Amino acid sequence: MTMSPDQILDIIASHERWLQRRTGGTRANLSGCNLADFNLAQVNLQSAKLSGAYLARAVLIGADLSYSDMFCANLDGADLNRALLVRADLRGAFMRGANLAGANLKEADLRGGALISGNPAAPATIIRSNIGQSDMDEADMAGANLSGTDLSHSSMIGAILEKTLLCGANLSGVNLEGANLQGADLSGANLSSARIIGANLAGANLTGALIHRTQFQKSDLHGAILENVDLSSADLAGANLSAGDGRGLSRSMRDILREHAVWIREQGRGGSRAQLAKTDLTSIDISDVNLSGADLREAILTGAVMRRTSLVMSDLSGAKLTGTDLRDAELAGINLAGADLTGSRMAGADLTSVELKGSDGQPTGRLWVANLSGAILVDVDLTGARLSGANLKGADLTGAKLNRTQIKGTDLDGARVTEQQLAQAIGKPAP
Amino acid sequence: MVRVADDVARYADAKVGPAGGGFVIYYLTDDSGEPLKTTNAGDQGISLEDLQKTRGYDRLRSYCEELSLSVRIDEHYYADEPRPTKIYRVVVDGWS
Repeated sequence: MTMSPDQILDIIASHERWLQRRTGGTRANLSGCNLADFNLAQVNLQSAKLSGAYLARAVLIGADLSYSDMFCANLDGADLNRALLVRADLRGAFMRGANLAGANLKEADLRGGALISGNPAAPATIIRSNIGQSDMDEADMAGANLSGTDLSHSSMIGAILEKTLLCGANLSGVNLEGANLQGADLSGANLSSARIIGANLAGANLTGALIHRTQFQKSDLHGAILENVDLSSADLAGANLSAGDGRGLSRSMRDILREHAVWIREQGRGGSRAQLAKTDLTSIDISDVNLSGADLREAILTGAVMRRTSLVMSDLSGAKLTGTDLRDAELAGINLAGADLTGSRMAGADLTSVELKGSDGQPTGRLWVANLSGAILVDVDLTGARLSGANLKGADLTGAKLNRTQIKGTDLDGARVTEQQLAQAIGKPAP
Repeated sequence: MVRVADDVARYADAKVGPAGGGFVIYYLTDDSGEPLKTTNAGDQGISLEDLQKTRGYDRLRSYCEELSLSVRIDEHYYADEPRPTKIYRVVVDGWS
């Protein structure tokens, strides 16, 4: 639908009255309207309906489009310099060649979606938000959802993308020089030939990202998750790749922990169990976190700080836990079979059994013992730890400190442990 | 109805490499696969409100509520010529 400039002005004036809660004001509904080439600089269209609007080449410099519905809108070549797009719904929008320099897209939603016809046999058409080749220098997109978006060859120099979701986004050839991507989720993103020089990627999640001829010179990748990432063709000159202190958790990791907390609180009816098998969590700090029942099989937790962490009945079989701090951790019923805990501190840890309860919440009389069979416990400090009833069959306790460790009924069949060590412990192991 | 759950499960996973992570749109097509534009609901006196009051849409809305999803009918101008034409799309979204 094409509108005359006068009609547009009337709608905007009425919308401004609506925003000010004045009489006679109505929310602007410009859905599907043809506004190509219109000059709408500085207009206030906050919360307006612009779904499917055709705004190609429109001048929207400094316009306030925050909270607006721009679902599937076409903004190709539009000038959105310094525009406000806070929490705008831009799902499926086209913004090819748009100027977003200095624009604020904080918490905007730019995800792609699926179009499905009435014919069940016809394949779905996938539409992706496309803002490729745009100018987004200095744009603020902190916390925005840009998952699956095509941002290829865009200029995003100095852009603020802190904690932004960019899962599966196409960032090939993009220029992110000096950008802030701290804690951003770039899992599965295409970063081939991207120029990410002097950028801040601390704590970012790059799991499974495609890195090919990507330039990371002088970038801070401190604490970034680089699981399943091939960095062989990347230029990392001067980049900081240190493991980090773990406090810079990516948004995804925080989400997993939050969902897991809900899962525990609602006894599995809500939330979701943390599925972190084979995940690289090197040096992570999850002290005081409740991860009971989590799946951490073969996870890499080297140097992790887990003081007082609750891992009751969690599965950490085959996990790499060398040099971890597990002091005073709640590890009752844990599965650490075959795990490598060399040099870890486990003083005061609880590795006893869990009494299983029936669906009625009543004790069944059955015990779920902590399983440390075949675990490597070389040089581990188990001072004051409770291992009563635990299964340590074939475990290697060479050099482990067992001062005041409770070992009543502990199964040490085939374990590598000396009489001198056991003399320091309390109680008698299983015969 | 089950198709909605299947489509969302199939196209909604916004984790790694999403196919379509934000929403699913359903629209009716003619034999050539084009949006159904030769039938003009307006000619029959049918409005957006009428579509929203149909039993089928009500059932879909209830089903989406069960899945904690939202559903809406989107009214779009499709063409001016030869006469103003609207198309209606059913949008299912609401997952994060």
